[in-house]
Amino acid sequence: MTRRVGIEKLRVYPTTLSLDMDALCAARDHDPADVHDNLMVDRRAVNPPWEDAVTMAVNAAAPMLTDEDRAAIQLVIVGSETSVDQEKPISSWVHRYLGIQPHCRNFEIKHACYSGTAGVQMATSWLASGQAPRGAKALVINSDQSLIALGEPYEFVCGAGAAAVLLSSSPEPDFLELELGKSGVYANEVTDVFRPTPRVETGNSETSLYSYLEALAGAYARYVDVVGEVDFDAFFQRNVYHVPFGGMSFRAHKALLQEYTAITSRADVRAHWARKVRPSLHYTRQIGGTYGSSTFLALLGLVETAEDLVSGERVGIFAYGSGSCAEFYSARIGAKAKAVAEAAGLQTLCDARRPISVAEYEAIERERDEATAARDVVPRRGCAAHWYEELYAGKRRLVLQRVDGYYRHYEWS
Amino acid sequence: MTHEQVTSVIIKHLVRSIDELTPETVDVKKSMKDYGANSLDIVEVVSASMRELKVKVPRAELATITNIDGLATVLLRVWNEKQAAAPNGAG
Repeated sequence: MTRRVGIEKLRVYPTTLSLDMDALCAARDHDPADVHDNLMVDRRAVNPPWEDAVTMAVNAAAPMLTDEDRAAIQLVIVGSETSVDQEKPISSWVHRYLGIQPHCRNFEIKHACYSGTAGVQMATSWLASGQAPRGAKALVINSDQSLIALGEPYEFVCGAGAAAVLLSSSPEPDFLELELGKSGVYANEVTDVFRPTPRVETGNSETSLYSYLEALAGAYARYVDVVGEVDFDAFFQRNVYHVPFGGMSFRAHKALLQEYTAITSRADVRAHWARKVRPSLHYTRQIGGTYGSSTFLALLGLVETAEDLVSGERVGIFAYGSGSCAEFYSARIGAKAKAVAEAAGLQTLCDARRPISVAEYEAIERERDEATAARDVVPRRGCAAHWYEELYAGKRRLVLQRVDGYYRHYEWS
Repeated sequence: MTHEQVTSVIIKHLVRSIDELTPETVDVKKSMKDYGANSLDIVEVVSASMRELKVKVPRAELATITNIDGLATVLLRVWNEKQAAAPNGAG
């Protein structure tokens, strides 16, 4: 009998600081309407200097896991393009600080914004294959943050965050059931956006957008080849797209509607997008670019804010990673999806973030940049207004204590 | 495929991206920016046109184009090159 595999739980860590886009627009003399209406970003997440891809990954997953989960997890995959080491994987720290049992395969993967989806697909295949022991679970985490981008044209689409996804095989997945085999992949080598060193994030965003749209067309065409002809509008009750910025979901949805439906006028496309896609941007608008976490963040926003959502609805999900590899796959909303999303408490976490000024943000980004790949680092805990005491002390969050001769030392707050 | 047919494909997608623009009012000597298209709109129109015509133009070449007529010229040239390269001219 084919096993059913899906997402049991999902939790996102939106960092503890946030920057208002109106303030950034004022500082950069940029039209706020472009950022709110075109890019669809209202705020972005910012990390204090004592957080990195390791702490975000752990802080995303830790509150979500039970002792039973820690004993059952036998696979941990962490996707990132913001790793802190070229040899030692983030997953090794994740395994340690989450207290997962020792017989656990763990590794880190990289494929730009595709890595989270690549991890989920590999974990799903493992769980469905019969190779995974009965009752075994898989934890997939994507953890990323933008590198310093002060004054760059793409500064408005930067962000940070981590998404933790717990997958298992069960008769009825709680949050989301992956439709096994219903997937179309499209790969095409391109150098669009990339990180040639740990301190440099560069490339051409226009090249990347062309590549994204080409990959969307290629991946969906492949999906149809695999699954068979479907009525796009009737088959998918919801659609989620990788969002380097929220506005890209509108462009992506429009491209598929124009090619596969009779819905072509700007007004009709907009109404269709508003109904099937817009709820998925609820958190993206508040957090900004989250790289490989973006489709999972979108799923959480969709489930939590789409009032007419019904379990069993099919979601078409598109993931794109620069470089490039893309995938269009489908899944069904689980029976307990709303409860899982509510338990993740993401709105509460977003609301609890400390708003920071542009000057504070710039100082943090400079400090992080100088600390990246440095031999010795002691993040300043008192960088402003007692943030550590307010946001961390006694809250059991993992923080970077220091880097000493390249050895990274973490501790619980 | 004629230059006019390629132009009409571009205009069709441009009209779908810009509010209150009709095909009759589009002057091909103008840039899409003249009609209020932002960089995302232009990527969308060019992508949709390439997809419909089943051609792919390198971004570096696209960056040199200054108006709608110029885009039509490049798309048609690439379309013709593809036809010439295809076995039996089957595209």
